[in-house]
Amino acid sequence: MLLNIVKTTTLLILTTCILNAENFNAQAEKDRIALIDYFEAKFDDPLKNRNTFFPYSTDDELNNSYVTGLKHQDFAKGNYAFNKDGKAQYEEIKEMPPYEDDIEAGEELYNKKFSNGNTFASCFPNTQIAGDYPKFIEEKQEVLTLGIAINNCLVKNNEKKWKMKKGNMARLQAYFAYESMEANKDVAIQINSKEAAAAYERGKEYYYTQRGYLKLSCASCHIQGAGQRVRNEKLSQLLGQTTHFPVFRLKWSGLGTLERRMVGCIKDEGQVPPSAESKYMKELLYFMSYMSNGMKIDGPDIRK
Amino acid sequence: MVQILENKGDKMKKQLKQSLILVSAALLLSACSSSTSKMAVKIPSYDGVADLNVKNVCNVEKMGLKNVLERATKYNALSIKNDLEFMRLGMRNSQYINAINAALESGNKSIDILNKKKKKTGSVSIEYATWRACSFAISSLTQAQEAKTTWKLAVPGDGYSY
Repeated sequence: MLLNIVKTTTLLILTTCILNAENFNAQAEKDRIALIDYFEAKFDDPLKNRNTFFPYSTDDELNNSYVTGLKHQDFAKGNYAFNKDGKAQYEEIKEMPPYEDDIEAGEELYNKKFSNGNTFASCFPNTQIAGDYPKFIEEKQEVLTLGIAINNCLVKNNEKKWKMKKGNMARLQAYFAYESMEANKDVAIQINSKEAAAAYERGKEYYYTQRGYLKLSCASCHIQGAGQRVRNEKLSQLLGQTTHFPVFRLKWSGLGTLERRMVGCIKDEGQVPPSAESKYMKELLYFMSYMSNGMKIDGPDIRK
Repeated sequence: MVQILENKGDKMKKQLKQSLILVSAALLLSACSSSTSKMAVKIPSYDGVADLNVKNVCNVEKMGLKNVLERATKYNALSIKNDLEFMRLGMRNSQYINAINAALESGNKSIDILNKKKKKTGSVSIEYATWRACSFAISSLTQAQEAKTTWKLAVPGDGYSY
């Protein structure tokens, strides 16, 4: 009898602990599923759903420019998931990907010895980690992005930090992304504590807050505006937006990190952007990456 | 025999009580963790800013250039402090303010718009630049205050329905 009571109590406590662990990401999961539902509904049949999602588009556009019936994993390709013209151009460029040299350079950087004889392998023994960042570090109570983890590794080995937005930083991240993609890895962001959930919530608030002199939020373009045409381009959707970074952007004529892209976006809203290492940026990327959880890593990639 | 059974009964009651306490504590912990998502984010407040009407207080003709510039400087400092500073055409609002001050000192009637490489891309009158600096400074703060209650309206699954 006594043994039974102890067993039942232990089981109950364990169950509660497991429930607790799952509960920290309950809101984030609710948000992620609502986002998937929204985009699946939006791109199910743009012509049929014109009044709800595409009031300004022409019949011709809606009939001929969109791929229909998209499902969750399709969105990992960014706006090329639905954008017929864009996808045709994208596939042409992909025949000779301009970032191949960057992946090789990234691999060389990974294996190159620091002055103390160590390599990046001393900090990142596993190279298939693109989907694991950003992560919340409980001991420090802050979000750690891959860029900051790379710089921490450099400092730990008495090397100089790299700039966060391009150059060697983007090259090494391209190598990690490529290795992760080849290993068929998913985005797998964790929220394992109350503090991590709070960081996620702050990132979410930043994403949905209108800012700058144009009074736009990230969501204005990439949720409500996703799929709509601005000049000759269609706006990409939040879902799957972090799966393919770093990207080789034709506008940049080179490779850039997600931080570089976000800085550009916030400037476009008409606000001085937060630095790539700021708390705002880290938590924003934490939220954005969580929204792509469960999607395949598909980087590095090309964008206009 | 009866005594033994009574003792066993007491023990069981005690163990049952302990189990109940443990389960209650565990459930309480669970409830605490699930309330995380409802945690309030600290709302900054900028005293009196919400009452300011930029069309009036930043009107250079009506209020005078120096007063408007003073107001722009005051509120832009608050805007910078809260990471809300506006920028346009590659220039931060503080750069507009500095350029206006320099133009007033040198007697220039206009300021240059410079891109990030410091190359001139245009120019505007100091009156217009002052209006812009003031309205940008105040709007950045009022907008941030408004956003504290409006941002959720854009979240699918929360305030945004379709």
